[in-house]
Amino acid sequence: MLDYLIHLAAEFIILSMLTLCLDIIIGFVGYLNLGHVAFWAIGSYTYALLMLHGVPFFVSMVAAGVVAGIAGFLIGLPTLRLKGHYIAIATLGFMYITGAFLSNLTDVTRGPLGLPGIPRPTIFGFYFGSDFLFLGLTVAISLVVALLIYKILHSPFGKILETIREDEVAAKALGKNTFGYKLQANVVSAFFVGIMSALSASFFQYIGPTDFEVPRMIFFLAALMIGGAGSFWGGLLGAVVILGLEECTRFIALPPNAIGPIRTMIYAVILIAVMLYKPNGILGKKIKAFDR
Amino acid sequence: MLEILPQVIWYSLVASAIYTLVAIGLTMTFGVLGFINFAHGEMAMLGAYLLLAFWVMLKWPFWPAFTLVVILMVIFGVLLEKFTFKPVRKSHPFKPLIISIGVSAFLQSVVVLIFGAGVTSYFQDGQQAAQTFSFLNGDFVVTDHQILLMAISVILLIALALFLKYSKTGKAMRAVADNPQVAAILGINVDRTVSIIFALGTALAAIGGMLIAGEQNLTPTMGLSLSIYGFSAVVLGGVGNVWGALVGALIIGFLENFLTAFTALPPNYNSAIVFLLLIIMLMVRPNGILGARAEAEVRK
Repeated sequence: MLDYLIHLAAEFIILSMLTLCLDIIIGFVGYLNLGHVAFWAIGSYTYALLMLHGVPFFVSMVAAGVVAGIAGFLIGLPTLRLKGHYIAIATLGFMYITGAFLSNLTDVTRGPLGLPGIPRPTIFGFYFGSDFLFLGLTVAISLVVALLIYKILHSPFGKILETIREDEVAAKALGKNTFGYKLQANVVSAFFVGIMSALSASFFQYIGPTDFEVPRMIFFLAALMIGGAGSFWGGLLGAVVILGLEECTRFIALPPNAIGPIRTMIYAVILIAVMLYKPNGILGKKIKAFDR
Repeated sequence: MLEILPQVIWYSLVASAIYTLVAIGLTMTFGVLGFINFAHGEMAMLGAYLLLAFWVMLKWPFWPAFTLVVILMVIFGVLLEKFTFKPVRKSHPFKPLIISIGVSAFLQSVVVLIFGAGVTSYFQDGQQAAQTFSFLNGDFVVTDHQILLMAISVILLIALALFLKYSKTGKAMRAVADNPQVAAILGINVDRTVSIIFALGTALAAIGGMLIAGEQNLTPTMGLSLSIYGFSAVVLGGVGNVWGALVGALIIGFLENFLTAFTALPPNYNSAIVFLLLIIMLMVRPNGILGARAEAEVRK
């Protein structure tokens, strides 16, 4: 039972942190990025490939962050100039392009087989092999990342992002280079996703192209919306709520091949219900895009 | 190389016909309601699976099954709009968009639960295999199903174009698309018009889904990729314009099949290339090829 709780705690923390990263771009900048899981995929594969080739943990983790950040920069350049719903379709296309490369570059990624046996980290000769020790490492790194994100979102930079979300024309009229700020926010969000993907890849110890497809995207979107977009704590809370509901289904006897679709159905129903009846989520602020 | 050209062109046309049927519904909802309906492709997927249930599993004759699927899907499409999209019609387009993603995921999971996640086909036993006609010393082969598919698509497209242009309802639809408030003031029933748009769009998507399932295979994920192909066609051709949807669908259909036939690029990259084209198009000419709307609609 304790093992189960420790495992669960680590999973909750990692997925909450990834939702928080999505919150930066959807909640604070107000850009509906549907291809966010592609950053996670890019970070995870970078990290896993480096770790499998014996590169030290911190180097791999930072490399995952940097590569994901570069991806955020490159995809931000063409898409961040687009208006609301066009960015949704363009970023979704980005997710499909990433997926196509992951399943077709079989020499590097092993294609649909995925990468098994991703090692748990060893730091200065200390091996974080057990779930308990790994939970400790997860808590430590997540606290640092969460603190950094909190500082960034509550700095003047974060205020400018919120201004862009509420009224981009006004932000421009105040002399702000809105595109530059949006690009920076996209890179920051992707970078932290890359950092967190190091933890997720080492935690699950396996990644495959199907981990980074639509069901995951729905999960993060539902988590963010129920938690409340545009709020730091809302971003963290949403994943906990949804995973909590998901864990409840574990105790109902379901045939194994029905679990996946039923979980996706839960996410989908939550997503629809939240958007229809409580578009600001539990902790969300009043956001123009979701409030009217 | 050249001797396979007629065959490749034919395949391109067949693919384009399906993308057009899906894209028309998308372009109508996008033009009138102003949001991207990600659940639209699922109407095609659902139609295809319902036909599998009635025609293949229950062994009903083809045409009654086909008609029943269209009727059921029209009812479903109208009800779906009433319960999910109508409450948020006046909201920011993000809300209906996110809801449509939820609907899409929900329908996909329902189909996975009932029919399984794997690939299925209408012709698993091979006994219903299509009749083929070959021309040009066998270099150009056409199946009866492909001819049926092309005929249905062309007839539907012409009928729809005439309907939108000349019928009273079609004019009302264009009026609502242009300005819902003014249309309402002029006595056009906006709710009814939106319902008709959803009924028409769903019917076309369901027919497209059933036809493409006879040509390819059925997978629960086919709907979302059809949505994205359809929307790419809409953007390429020009938003809110039926002929734009046709032009965009032709570009995608031809691009896809010519890349597969004449380049060494593995076909798995097809969708990636379509999306790359979409992103480039949004950058370069966001109005689409036939689009007349101002660029400000797309870019800031």
